[in-house]
Amino acid sequence: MGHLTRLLAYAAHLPDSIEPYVLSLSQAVPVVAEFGYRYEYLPSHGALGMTSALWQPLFQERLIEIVDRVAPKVVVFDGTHPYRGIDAAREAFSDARWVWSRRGMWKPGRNADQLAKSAWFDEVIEPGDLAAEADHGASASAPAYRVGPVTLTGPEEMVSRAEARAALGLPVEGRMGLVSLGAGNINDTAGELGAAAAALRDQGCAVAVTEVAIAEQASGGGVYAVRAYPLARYFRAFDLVVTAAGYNSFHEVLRLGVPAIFVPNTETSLDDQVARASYADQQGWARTVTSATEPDFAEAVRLMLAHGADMVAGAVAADPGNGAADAATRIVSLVAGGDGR
Amino acid sequence: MKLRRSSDGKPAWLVSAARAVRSSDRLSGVGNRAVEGVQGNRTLVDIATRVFAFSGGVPVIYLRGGAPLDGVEHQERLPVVLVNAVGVEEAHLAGLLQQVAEVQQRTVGFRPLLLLSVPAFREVRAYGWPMELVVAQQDWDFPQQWDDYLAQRLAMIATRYRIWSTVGCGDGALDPMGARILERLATYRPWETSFL
Repeated sequence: MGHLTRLLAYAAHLPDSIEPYVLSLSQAVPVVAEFGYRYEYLPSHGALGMTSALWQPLFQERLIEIVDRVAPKVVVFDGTHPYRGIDAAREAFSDARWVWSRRGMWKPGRNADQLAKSAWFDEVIEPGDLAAEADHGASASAPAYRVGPVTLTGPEEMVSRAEARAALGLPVEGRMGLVSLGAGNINDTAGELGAAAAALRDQGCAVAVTEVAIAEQASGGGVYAVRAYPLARYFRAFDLVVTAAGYNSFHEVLRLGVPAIFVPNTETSLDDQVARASYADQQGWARTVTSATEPDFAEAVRLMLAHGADMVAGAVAADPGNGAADAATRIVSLVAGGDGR
Repeated sequence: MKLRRSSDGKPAWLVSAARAVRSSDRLSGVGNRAVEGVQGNRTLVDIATRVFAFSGGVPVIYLRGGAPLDGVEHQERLPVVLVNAVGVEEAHLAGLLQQVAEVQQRTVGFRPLLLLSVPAFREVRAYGWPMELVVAQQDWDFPQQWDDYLAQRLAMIATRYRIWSTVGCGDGALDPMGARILERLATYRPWETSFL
């Protein structure tokens, strides 16, 4: 739900005179109602099991119908692959301004053909990346209005450790690590999730996960399920976060000063998580390991529990500030009839 | 020789060819004229009908069949039935979904597409069915009439999903005639008949 988080971050910085209206292919979209925004859902071809050739006309027809009905001044698309049909919708509703929110850090050599779709938009906004120096993908040198790293939660919105533990139903005392590595069997130490949990427990650190089902299957208990959105608001509950290195997770933990071990997902089609996470490791902001099952993971846990707070302070110092406000200002200028790029 | 692929995995030659056709007035015009030619020719349509066994009136479409069809082959040939649950409250959905699953598992005769006005994604996902969501009538805040909006969505869904039949719901259950239609699909299976 990275796109929803970025869009919500922009929306949070818009003036009250602008009403955000969300259309998403994600079934997580109802979360935007908690922020007071209206939304609609358009199933992806993956969710439908439909071929893309059949889905594309469906997408186009729905998009045109909704743009016609909602009559937005600006349409902001967040993604790295603008779908065919956006061009037709833009042609049909040329009075609206069209913006592509396009995060960078593409794997080198991938997706370059998508850059030509910049022509479909009046403006391309690139949410910044703290690891931008390691970005060698096709979008890195493409024209865009670049803003700082975008997160929904800023340090000022975080609650205290005690409040966070209470809100998440966690014990008041003791060390707690959050493991967010997707699905898996937490009892199987040959897998990422189980290995990470075991290493944390070995260091006297209780374990929290974001999936209720994972916590329920934990033998011997002691694994807590936490559910909240945005969870980053409660990050002070944790002494350490073990996570993949997607755009949002990466920037949330580093911008908010949470000690982190990154286990980059190498299976993504485009997002270069290895480059992003390796950069953070090289800068000494966090530790990056290829797998929680590797012997160096236990050492990384020891290191981060002892020195993680000092290490991540370097990332906080390097943070230029939340780019969401800048992006929102740019969007507002388009609503007001600015030229964009 | 390794097949070159585009960034989203399609064969590069196919992407290039499609792009060339789309961007060429002449080629796309030829394609359109060819389709019009076939569609306007009774004999050619008759041959296509026989070759592709469309006589059952069930177009082939790839769409998730759901967990009740696990292990069933050639699900793409089963008819897609729109279960119109617009207006059904969340509290009544569980029974409705259970009923649809039970009929589907027993008949192995259809694939449901759920149309809801409440965002019950988790509940529907548990059965593995696709779903569409409409703006609920009580949340409607547009100049257009909600009934017209719903009618347009129903028309769009019928076209894009190749809907074979629509069944309605009431009081947390399939309406009686809708349930009967689905039950018939246990034995009424014209799409399995070859007309060649």
